[in-house]
Amino acid sequence: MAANEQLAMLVQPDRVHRALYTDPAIFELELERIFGRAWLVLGHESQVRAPGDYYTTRMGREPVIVVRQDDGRIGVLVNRCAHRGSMVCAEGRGNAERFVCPYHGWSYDRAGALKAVPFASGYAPGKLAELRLHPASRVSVYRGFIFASLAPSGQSLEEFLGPTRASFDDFVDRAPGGELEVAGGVFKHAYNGNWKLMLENHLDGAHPAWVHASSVAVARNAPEPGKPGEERYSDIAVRQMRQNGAPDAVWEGTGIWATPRGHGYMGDYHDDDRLVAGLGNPAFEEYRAELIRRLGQPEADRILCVTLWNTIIYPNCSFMSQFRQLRIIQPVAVDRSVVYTYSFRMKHAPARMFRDTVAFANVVNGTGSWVLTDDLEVYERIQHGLGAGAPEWVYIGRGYGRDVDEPGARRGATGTSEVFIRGQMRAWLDYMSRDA
Amino acid sequence: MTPEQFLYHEARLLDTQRYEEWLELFTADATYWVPLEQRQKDPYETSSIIHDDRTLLELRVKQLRHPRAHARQPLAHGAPGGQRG
Repeated sequence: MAANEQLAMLVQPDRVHRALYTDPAIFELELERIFGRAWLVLGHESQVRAPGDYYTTRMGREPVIVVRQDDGRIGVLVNRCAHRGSMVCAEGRGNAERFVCPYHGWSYDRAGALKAVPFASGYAPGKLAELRLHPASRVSVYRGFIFASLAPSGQSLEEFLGPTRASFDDFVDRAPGGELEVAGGVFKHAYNGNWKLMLENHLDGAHPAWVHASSVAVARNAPEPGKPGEERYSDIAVRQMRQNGAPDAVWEGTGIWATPRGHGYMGDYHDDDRLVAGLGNPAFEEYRAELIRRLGQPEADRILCVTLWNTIIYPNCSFMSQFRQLRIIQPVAVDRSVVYTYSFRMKHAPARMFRDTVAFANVVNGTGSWVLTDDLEVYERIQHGLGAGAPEWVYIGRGYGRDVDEPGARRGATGTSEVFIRGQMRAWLDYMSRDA
Repeated sequence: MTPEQFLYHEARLLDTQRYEEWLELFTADATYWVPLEQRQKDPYETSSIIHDDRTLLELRVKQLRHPRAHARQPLAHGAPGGQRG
């Protein structure tokens, strides 16, 4: 195992060693020390509304079941039978009274307690009472979003999130009545690259002009989007792809912040009224009126004036609060990652707004999108490139030396600063060099 | 052209990367839909792998010809040996 001093040598203020992306031993240590300790985003309460509703996911290498218990609380159980270790629940989602192991029929209730064992007389008295589905050490919910940690102690979820709580607040506050639900299907994709590559890309304002050059170019030459009332289906896609071609000055002028726990967030670069304000759009006006009816004009204005693009929750989540998209990344191997992308519906907003969310998801985050696919291609090229022996270092020095410390977060001097990658690496080293 | 001949014709255009000619097979009101889910009922309330109207389908073809369409290098074709078509 790499000694802590060696790990520290791999992470320097403006560069990191390529081993962070390619060394299987480091990857194994990440699963233990980062994914085995941090609060991880697991999903949203709307995915488990009724007692017994469950879905399966992973916390690092642990397969887990997220389930609504009979007492109304959300449980997170390691999906492994206490007998011989089979997953008791097939991967997927549903509603269950009991989780019954397919191997020998051991069955567990929604809280993970062992309720029935065939041939129980073969065990010494009291022996089975010690056994259960192992629960995640800590489970917490912030404004409807479900988190869990495999570490028995550590920061509270609120402390861990720090200023990124405001991004979740933005996500929820925009929904009239605060009611959000996962809807519209889940995009699932994998890429042949390290998990960190995705988190290092989602706040990178310098990449769209290059990675997304082809989709920006065709969108610029597309027919002009229709005026209010004359809109076409293609408009949302065309508008978003054009926005990725924003001038350098727009990217440079956008705020970008990194927190001590490796999270990051960015102000919004969108200036397209149809995408972010919907001015003149009948559905958006109806939505705005509903917010005003519930909250009053000043509060509705305050909510709609918040401008945030991606927020990253280190180490496993990235979301767009304004566009109601959330991605969860699962590390599979040092060079293999799986990503689930969710869309959210605002229950009390006009139906048309969710149609825009779906159209946006298809073109930006979908597996057949022209935007995401170019990102994935680049992640894979990075992974190939870093497989070479030399040069050994990866540079993360854009804006280095000009970062500004603000309360709760460090701000990049300009919007294209790599301050957020440096923040992720600081958190990485902090998790990795602690023995417990 | 019989329907059977038409299907072979469409497949041949894709196999030989003649995407611009393939695009011309679609009328102005066409929709190209690859659903995300089994038995998906509609493309508006649930996401799709592809849900392109004729405008987006044309942009998709133009995009894949762009020199910096990184994910389209090399450009896919439908069948092994298709480029000989």
